[in-house]
Amino acid sequence: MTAVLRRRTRLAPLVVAGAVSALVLTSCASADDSSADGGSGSSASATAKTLPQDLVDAATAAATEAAGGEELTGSLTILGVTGGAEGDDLVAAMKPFEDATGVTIDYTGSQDQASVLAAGIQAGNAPDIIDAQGAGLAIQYAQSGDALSLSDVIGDDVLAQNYNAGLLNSVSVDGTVYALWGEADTFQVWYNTATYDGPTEGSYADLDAWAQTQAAKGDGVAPWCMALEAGAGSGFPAQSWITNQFLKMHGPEKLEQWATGELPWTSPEVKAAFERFGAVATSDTMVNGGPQAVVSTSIVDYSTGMFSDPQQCQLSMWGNYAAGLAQSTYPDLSVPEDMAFFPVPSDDPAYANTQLTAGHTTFALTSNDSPEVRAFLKYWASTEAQSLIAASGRWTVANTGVAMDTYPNAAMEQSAELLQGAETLAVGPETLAPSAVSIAYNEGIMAYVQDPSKLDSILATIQASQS
Amino acid sequence: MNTLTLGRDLLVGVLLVPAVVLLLAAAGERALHRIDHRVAQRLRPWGWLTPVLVAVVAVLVYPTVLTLVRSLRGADGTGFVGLDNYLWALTGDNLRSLLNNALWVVLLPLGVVLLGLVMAVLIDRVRYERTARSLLVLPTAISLTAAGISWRLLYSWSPEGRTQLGVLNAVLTKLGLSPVPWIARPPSDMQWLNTVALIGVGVWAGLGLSVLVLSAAVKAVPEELLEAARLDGAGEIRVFLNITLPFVWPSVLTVATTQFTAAVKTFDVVYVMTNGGAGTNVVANQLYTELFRYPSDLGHASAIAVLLLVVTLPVVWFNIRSIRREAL
Repeated sequence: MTAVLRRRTRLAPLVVAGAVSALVLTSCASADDSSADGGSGSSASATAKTLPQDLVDAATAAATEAAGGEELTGSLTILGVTGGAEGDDLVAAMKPFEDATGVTIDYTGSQDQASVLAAGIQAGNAPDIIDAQGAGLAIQYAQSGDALSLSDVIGDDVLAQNYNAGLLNSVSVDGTVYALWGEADTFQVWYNTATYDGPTEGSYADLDAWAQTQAAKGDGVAPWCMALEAGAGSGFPAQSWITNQFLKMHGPEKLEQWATGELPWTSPEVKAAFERFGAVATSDTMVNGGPQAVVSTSIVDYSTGMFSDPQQCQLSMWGNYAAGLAQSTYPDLSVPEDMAFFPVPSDDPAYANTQLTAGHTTFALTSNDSPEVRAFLKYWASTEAQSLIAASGRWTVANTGVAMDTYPNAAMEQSAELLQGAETLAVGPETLAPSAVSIAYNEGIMAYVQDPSKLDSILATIQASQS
Repeated sequence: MNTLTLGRDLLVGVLLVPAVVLLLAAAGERALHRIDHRVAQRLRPWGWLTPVLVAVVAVLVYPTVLTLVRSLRGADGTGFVGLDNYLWALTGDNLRSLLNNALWVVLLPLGVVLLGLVMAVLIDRVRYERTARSLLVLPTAISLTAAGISWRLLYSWSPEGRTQLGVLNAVLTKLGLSPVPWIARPPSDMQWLNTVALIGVGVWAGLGLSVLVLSAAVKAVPEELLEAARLDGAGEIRVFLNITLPFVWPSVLTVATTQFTAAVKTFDVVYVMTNGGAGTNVVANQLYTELFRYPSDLGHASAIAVLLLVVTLPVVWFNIRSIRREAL
């Protein structure tokens, strides 16, 4: 017995030493695959949607041109926000670059991107390319001098030719462009064509008057649909709701002031926009299921109440992706035959044709600058590459060169018309503010819906996250 | 992770690291052979300990000291702000997080130990013991993140009269009761119950290990003692309280203390299920937020980390002491 024990103790330090160092080293070795929770990795060769061959060929040619005859090697790590089938479609648009240059692309999508990126940079293994939600991240890294200047890499003339001036401005610091707008969503009011009999044009006051009448009926069909539960990102669909109200009430210039931190969250303008949202979201009759349902229902069911049996609600103010999401529950739904939209109404005619947008911006860090990174950014800025994203039918893109007939479905084509036809494109704090503010915005929305009486202190908390 | 990096990691972890450690040890032994026997005898333990010590200093001591220093500094890790960060960590919204952690600390060990004991004693008496134990241990194989996502669906709530997608509320509605917003109660409706619902997930996930440990202890209770007590007319409850419980007490303490530390630093379940919303925030989730959102606040994050360490240390010390005593 003792012999066995002693033998064991003699061996123990060796076993422990081996185990400990193995743990330490393996944890370092695997730190460079940046997949975190909620993340999903996929390589560009993974299942891709069949895209029109002529578009793919054009993109391959654009990639060859982007490489500029240079011999490119190795691989690029790209950290995005979209995973799953959405991520696959994004990766499919990157594939021609792989085919043309021989560079392999390692794409990871994480919903918690800002944190994964910060952790990656702290650990010294930042991704080569970042495809971010909004422009806030790019602006932050541009201001700290860590982002690669795209005015240098791509050239201001090419950028000006391919992108709306307002959008370029949103990703510029001191006149230099640091990020590329990719998917750019529009926001609109969706309705069920079979049952909706309210106004599709006119002012917000008209729409609101109709909504109040519907709410007063008490027949269990609320005028507005809404659902905000999204795990760690809960609350985010309401950001565009509130920002849209602000835009239509106070205009794009005031919105820019708010988005860049000049106009405080505690200002009467912001409060008024929140209260307009609250008049719907915190009401037992104006919104589907009342406020408790709003905070507890998954965003997957944001608009499905319009088509449920019995019908639960009638209008859904959300992005152009709302149609695709509703189709995941009701696959037979067609746009615009069953589900159609009208632009977000405004009380002030001056802002009737301003369109709120939000989406993805792509940028790189100077620490990872390489010929491969530069070639990819040039490729990604090209109309040919962005046409592949449009052809997936999932998103509208900001690149103004993408032809309308590239979109394979009416929902996206009509949204693209909304985007390209707008007098002014505007972005809100959800696009420009640093992640700390965006997180506080989400948390504030959830807290507000649960307890509307706390609005002042909630706004003060969001304002504090900005400093 | 693709197969290439997986292969590389395996190579490094399984082969290279132990090989390097062994080589180092062998080289050390050779060097020791050359010097005086008695000196060598004294040096030998240190030679063998060095790799472990280096690892411990690199991954434990150094970060701890750095965290201590940073907890006294500003948001960007510079300047000196005294105890400001600690003051912040103990007031305002953080008070809520602290109270929630207190709830976790009381209810998680209590739930895991009590249910674990009941299960351990009960499955000791049934014929399908193995099957029952396997079923109870199964949740241990599921990561807390996955468990959180599953439970978010189980807890799902819809307004009364609608189809309930969550299993729990579907059952309640079938029984003619009102559905309960398990993890989304509003502030006006005993919001602390949201945290209790999250703790429930923690108990479910921790129960397996607890049953394993406690059921081994229950089996070690001498049968003849139980027999004797029963012959003397003691009821089953009396037998449990006066004989079984004192025998398994050390195991109960082990389970309780590990669950205590888990409760202090609880994160996964909260992050995945509510991200601290609906009044369920906990200290570790706040730490994560402070550290990884942009711009991050290193001072706040470090102060929270130090507080967590201070709270956990006595329990860890107690645990190590009792493990040592058991070993003797």
